[in-house]
Amino acid sequence: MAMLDIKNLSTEFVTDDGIVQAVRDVSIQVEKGEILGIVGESGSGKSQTMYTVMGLLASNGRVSEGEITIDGKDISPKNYSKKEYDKIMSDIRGNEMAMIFQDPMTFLNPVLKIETQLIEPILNHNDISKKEAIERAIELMRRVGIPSPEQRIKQYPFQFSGGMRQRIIIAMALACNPKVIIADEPTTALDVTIQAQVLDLIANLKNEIDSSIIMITHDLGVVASICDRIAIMYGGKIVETGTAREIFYNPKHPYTKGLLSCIANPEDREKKELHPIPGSPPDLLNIGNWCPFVDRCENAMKVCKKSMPEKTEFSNTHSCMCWLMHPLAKEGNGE
Amino acid sequence: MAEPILKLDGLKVYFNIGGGFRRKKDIVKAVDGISLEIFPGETFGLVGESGCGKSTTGRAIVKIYEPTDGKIYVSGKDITKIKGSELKQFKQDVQMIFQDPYASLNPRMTVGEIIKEPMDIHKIYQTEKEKEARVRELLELVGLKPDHIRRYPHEFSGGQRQRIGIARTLALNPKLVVCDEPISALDVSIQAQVINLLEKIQAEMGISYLFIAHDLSMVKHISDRIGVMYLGNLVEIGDSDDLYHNPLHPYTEALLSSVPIPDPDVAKSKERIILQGELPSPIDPPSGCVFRTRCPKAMEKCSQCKPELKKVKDRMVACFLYDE
Repeated sequence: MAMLDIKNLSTEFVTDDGIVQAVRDVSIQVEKGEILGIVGESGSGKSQTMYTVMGLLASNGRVSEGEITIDGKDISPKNYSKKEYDKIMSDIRGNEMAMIFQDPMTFLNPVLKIETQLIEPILNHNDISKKEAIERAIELMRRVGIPSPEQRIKQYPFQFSGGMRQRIIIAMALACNPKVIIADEPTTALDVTIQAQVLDLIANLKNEIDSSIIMITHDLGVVASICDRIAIMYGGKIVETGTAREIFYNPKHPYTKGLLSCIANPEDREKKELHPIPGSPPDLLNIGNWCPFVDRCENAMKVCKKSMPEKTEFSNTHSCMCWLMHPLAKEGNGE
Repeated sequence: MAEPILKLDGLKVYFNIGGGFRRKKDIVKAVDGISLEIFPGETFGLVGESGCGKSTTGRAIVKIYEPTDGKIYVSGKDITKIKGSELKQFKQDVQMIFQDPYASLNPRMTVGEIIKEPMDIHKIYQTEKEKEARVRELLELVGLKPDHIRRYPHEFSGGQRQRIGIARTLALNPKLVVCDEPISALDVSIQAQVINLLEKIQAEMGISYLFIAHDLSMVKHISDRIGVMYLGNLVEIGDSDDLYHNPLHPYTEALLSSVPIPDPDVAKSKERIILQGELPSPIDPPSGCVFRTRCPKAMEKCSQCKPELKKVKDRMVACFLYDE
């Protein structure tokens, strides 16, 4: 059974201009001990999907549909009253599910010592003394590779560099041995050499703790190096999912193909021409119920602007939502 | 060989920080003596981590910052002390594309006014009609519609705004364009659009680029030669393909090995050199070679004196490992 199971999730935001459908009918499962990468451009709904799962939506956001279960336990917002939901989620957040954010400086409280911030989740979710909690915090800091943790735990966030702060956030996420860790662009704010350190740490931790990790990112290089499975999001929908190898070596959706042909691979000896995707991503405000990629797609057919494509499965792991994969399209029948 | 369009000779840019009543003043050595040459029609990529001085170098070249020491030659003429009409000519020849397409366009001017402004200042066209014709031509060149001329920047997406910025840069037919992280604020699918546009313009107009970025895969894609900076110093310069596949300086080697490769089989089998520790502070850089505190191959000599950028095969490297 999947560790985290999201079924038909839709999230929308009420704004002055109308309703923004940020997440549209998203279903995805995360198995125990795997790293799932969610890839998409800004505004594709990748972060909002996970914010919905964590129950961290902005006040104008609402879940219009969908079921979410973690380790068999139902945490769908619409199945509970607001009060019940908040209570359930405060038990789960930080304990069974934890999140690593993009910008470590805004996440840490600048006026509290690392110690205070790091033992908070431990004390909240476990029945242990403060002294034991501090010991555990020091152990966590050592595990994420912070040198001399006994001294450094007494310091404030500004005394740490960007990479070290991100390690502290990771330590905080690990504090209660969560079943699912959601990492939202964990290395985007870091330099490449520090990014390599942090990715290395995440890959090593995965072997140690056997939590499931969800990596939200726009960087295909990052996904290729550490993810087992990848979901590509576009216009609030998951357009293709598959193992890393299936996505990179056998992409099916025109958007996935487009993404792969517009990035430069430094390993190539010959200079390869980049093929950008024309146009720009769709506006999710009052978006129509048809394929979101239709306006930028080279192979768009009439049907693409009429209805939402159905899911086509190529293997147990690989599936894609595109009318081109429909049996009728293959016969050259463009209707 | 042709005369370089840009030549830096021992460029230093220092900033004073702190100070005040009875307080010690500190000096940040943002750029500490770098020399390089860029030839006509060439793209020179400048890479390095944040704080290595790559943007400061770019800004010193377009005279946003005053160099502390060293010379900047544009078409053979030192521009560090120029004034008046010479300065005006220099500003026509050297232009800049900025990182943030939201902050670098005036929201209260129309696209036409933005692109026309440099033409007005430099009086390169006589009549309004000529100017407008040129603006329309430029809009078309960068892939926008000529009737966008009366619109305001907020009506455009990030990628389109960057195109407007590029059109403004080209208004004066520059010889050298300093591109300071021109694509890092854009989405992946839009980045390739802008890179292809820059390449197309170069092919048509024969201008040179100084391309500053931290995204090494894109720098390698667009550049003919690459310079690697670390803590205000150039540690290696070489042909981009050659440098990537056979880095000589230990820092270049580590930096390139940390680049994530968008290919799962290669990425998982690739040997990564994980650098220990973090970038030292540019206020108090290490003695001798600045990289020695993180260098896996550091020797005793490295802490005593600073290695010079020297020719090794057809490469320039600043490292004692390559001394005879």
